[in-house]
Amino acid sequence: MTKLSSKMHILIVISSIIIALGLALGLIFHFTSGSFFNYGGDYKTVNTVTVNYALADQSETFNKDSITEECNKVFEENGVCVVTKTYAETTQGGEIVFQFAAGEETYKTLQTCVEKITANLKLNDASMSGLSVVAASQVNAVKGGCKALLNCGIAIIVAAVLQFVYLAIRYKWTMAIGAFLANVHNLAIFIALLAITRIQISSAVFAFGAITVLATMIGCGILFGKMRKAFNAESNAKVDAKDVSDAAACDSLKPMAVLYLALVIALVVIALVSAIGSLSFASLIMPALCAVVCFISTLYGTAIFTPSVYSRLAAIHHNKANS
Amino acid sequence: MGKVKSAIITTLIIVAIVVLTVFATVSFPMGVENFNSMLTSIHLGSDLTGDAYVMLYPEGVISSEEYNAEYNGKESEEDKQEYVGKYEAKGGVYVEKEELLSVGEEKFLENVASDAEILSNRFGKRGYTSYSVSVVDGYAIKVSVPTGFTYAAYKGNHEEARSTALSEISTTVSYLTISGGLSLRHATEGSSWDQNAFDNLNLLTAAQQEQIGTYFKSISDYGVAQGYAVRFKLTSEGRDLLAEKTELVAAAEDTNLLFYVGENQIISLTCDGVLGEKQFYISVANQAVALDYSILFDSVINGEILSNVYEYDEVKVATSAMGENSALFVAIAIAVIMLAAIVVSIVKYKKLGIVNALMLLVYALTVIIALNVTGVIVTVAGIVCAVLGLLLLCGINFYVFEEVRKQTKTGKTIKSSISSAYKNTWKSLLDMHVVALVFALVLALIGVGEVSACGVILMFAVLASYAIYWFTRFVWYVISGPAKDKFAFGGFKREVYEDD
Repeated sequence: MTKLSSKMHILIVISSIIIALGLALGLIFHFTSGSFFNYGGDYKTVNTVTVNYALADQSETFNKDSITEECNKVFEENGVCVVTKTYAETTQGGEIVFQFAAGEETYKTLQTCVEKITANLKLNDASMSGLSVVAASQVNAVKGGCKALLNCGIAIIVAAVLQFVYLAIRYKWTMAIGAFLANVHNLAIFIALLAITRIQISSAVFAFGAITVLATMIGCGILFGKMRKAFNAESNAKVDAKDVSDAAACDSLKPMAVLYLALVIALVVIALVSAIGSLSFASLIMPALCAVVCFISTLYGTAIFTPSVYSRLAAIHHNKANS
Repeated sequence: MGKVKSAIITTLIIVAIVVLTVFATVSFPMGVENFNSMLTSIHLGSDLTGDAYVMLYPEGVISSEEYNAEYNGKESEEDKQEYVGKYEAKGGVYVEKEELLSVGEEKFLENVASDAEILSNRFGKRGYTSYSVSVVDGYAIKVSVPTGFTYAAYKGNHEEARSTALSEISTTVSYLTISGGLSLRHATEGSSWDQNAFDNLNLLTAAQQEQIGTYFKSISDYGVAQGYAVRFKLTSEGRDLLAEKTELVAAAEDTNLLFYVGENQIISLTCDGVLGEKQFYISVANQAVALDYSILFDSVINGEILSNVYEYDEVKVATSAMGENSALFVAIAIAVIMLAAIVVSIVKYKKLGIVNALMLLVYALTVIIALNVTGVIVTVAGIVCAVLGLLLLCGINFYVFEEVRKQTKTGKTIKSSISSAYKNTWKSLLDMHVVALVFALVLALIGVGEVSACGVILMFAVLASYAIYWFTRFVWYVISGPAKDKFAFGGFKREVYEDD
């Protein structure tokens, strides 16, 4: 049995390093590239190429897939990578929007691509002669997510405080502190890992942040349920508090890990099947990575860090009660 | 439990599950219209059914399509040259040179950027699960909102729902992109000090018009028992002002006080007498309209006035960035997860695993029905919350089953083992569910957009999980009734002592 209680100091150091590293890297990126996190398409400038075939001759030979194919060929030849591709219906036809990473260089390359696509489509296919436009644009997103982020943050804080109150009433106040600490710690690790790994921030990250806290709360439920049972057991009356909490932490590790792992597997299945469906792994790799970060921070924080810190709290409380 | 009783209850439970599963998952033609299953009637977010978007062009800016169409429409080469000279290409849009000169390029770009911020604030208050406002090439604004289509509407199997959703989006866009400030007008009694006011006469003086924001505390939507209204809360100055104006309007032949934003009449108030209350309400057709009006009014009284007048041609519906069939593939993924959970249950717990499988189906049906009834918009994150509930249910059932296994090893009978196992675990599991429920409630109430929707879904998931946890015990008791070896039913082994 691993004695987590004896590893408290080293675990605090590890967590502090991760959080400090996240903060430092985030600040460096903030001052060098303008943002603490790596904002995704929802929140930053992207380049797009729009092929509008509203005025195209929609004869039998007309095919939106052939346009897509032609565009992809040109993008590939010019070394630009399509991040997402969407089709839109219009009353007179439709348009295809290709999204690319931001940057002046990419924009210049895309302008070249636009000329080539226009020329190729008109040359290769007679039905494309009336093709309306192919245009490259720079799209600068307004950061409308700030309010959502603020509200999500407030919701998480309120939930953590309510959990603290509930556990303080139903369990022990030391356990309530442990659970609150776990929430704060895991969320901090999650945010730090996002800053370190430069995973793209989209609206899904808010949801994953909330899932991190929820999974922590459920994990704390398992952990402190076991702890309470262990401390109440008569056979443990004379055992050192640290040993009791170590044993309970060991006991709770398996169910916790299984639950979190099952959740991650489920997320990966969703991401994988969706990627197969869309034939685009690029748009799903970030949410999948975000899920992994969520899993790592929650498992490490709840199953390893929290019991080690709590064992110390329990020992202090136990000693005080005995004296 | 007796064999007959057990058989009857088991049959009833299974028939109910099968019937509900059919209605939940199978769509079929019914006369001229389709019967759309409950699953295909759930409203989906933009990551599953795509966005609806509009391009907003300020005066003097046109799209490439419009430019090309106009250019191709010119007959003589001279006209074409003149047309080309009139505009300047800016990325994907064309800007009238004269307009640029009159306003100044820098100022023009600044105005568009600040308008985009205002529009972002307005659309943000609309409560969409996701939305985006972006500036295209500095001169146009793109607004994307989720369509909120059901899968049936997305696939064209429910045209009415599709057109209703699109028309609601179109109405919202048309109101939230209105330029200009709030003014109170009357057909005959107002003055015509404002040279731009060509439609109706302004009741406010120029000074009153300037400080319009000081007359209102807030303007919000209000709903009670299927009735919807816009609620205007007034400051003391506002009460005096409104008393003065309503007295004037009530005495006139036409008793309608008109609320304008820019040159657009938004709403009217019929004045039967002097209005001197702290707040007043103007009823509207539905909740969406109440929300649109209140967001627009609240925005303009807080000084958020668009610098440009914007035009848009149509609401375009784009496929999801995750692919045209992302909803279908996510559904397949959920089916795979369900199947995996069922297989693991059966392999690990034999016939008891079948009971767990039934409970997972009941959970799925409960969540589908809840989502259908409430009309919550489901995104991938929402689905993750529902899956979390499924795993929670599966996990707590396995936890109880393991506890039963532990109890059977102490030599207890199966009845006693089950009783002890539930007794030992219910408190911890209740705590876990209470904490999760509180979390879900807080997310639903405080969060906005996608986070709030996730909170609601999580709430259903947690409630369903806890209710089904107890229902599992009942179904286990019923189904295992006729089994001769109740230990073998769950794949357990009883510890046999010599003195047994």
